[in-house]
Amino acid sequence: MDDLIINQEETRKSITRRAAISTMSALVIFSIEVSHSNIWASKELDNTLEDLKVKIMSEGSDIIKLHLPNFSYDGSRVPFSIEVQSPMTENNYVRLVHVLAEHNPFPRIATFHFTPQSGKAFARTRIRLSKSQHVIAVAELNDGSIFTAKKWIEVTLNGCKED
Amino acid sequence: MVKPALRVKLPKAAKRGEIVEIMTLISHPMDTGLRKDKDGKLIPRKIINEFFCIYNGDIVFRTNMHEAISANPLIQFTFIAKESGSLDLFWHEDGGEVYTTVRKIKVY
Repeated sequence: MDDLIINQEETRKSITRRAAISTMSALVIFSIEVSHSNIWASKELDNTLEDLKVKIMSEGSDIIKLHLPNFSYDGSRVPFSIEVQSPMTENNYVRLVHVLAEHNPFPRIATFHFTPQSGKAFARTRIRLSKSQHVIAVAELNDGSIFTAKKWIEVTLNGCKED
Repeated sequence: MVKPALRVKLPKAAKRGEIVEIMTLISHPMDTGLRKDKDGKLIPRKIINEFFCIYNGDIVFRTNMHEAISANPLIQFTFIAKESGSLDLFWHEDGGEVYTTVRKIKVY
């Protein structure tokens, strides 16, 4: 009986130890994820954002829909489309959308300018990506308010240097 | 250089007030200035840097393009069909060359 009790205590101890270790590791992973964007953001991106006078908000906006595949074997032609929900009337419309890539040698991909005659703030094109990274969209409305959204994409082949 | 082929996909007719989708394509290598040729020399940058769409005299859609747009740039966008008329499309290349085409649309 004594042995059994000791064993139980031991197992209890080991369980608590295991629990402690797992919570610790979870905390470490969580802290890495939180500071992830700061570690990975590139200097070129910071400079372009400064040029555009835009700050990326930590929380993405729901009104921007970025359509990108989750992963792409070939970075030289990644299908890409963007849609911003907006009534697109004379008083309330999306003026422009900047599209940026975090780690491309030239982070600016394109800028789409819309007008109330556009009907929808929608554009589709094909883009080049150098490696796995966030694609960022910055939308500016006619009243000057700014919304941002970003999406992670895995890229296998560099699309900037190869054909 | 060979003159690039321009392709436009647009419905011939549309209802008044309908949102019409238009797809444009231009055959262009979009050299980024990072690639090297067989001798190891850098190919200078030559891309289409701007695209315009003018519908009956008004700018409907405009885009600035940079190095990260794929070769043979495809652009798809929308506009509201208000009255029958013409759509003028302009592609501006590095160095000042402009490629242009006109398409007609009927609105009933």
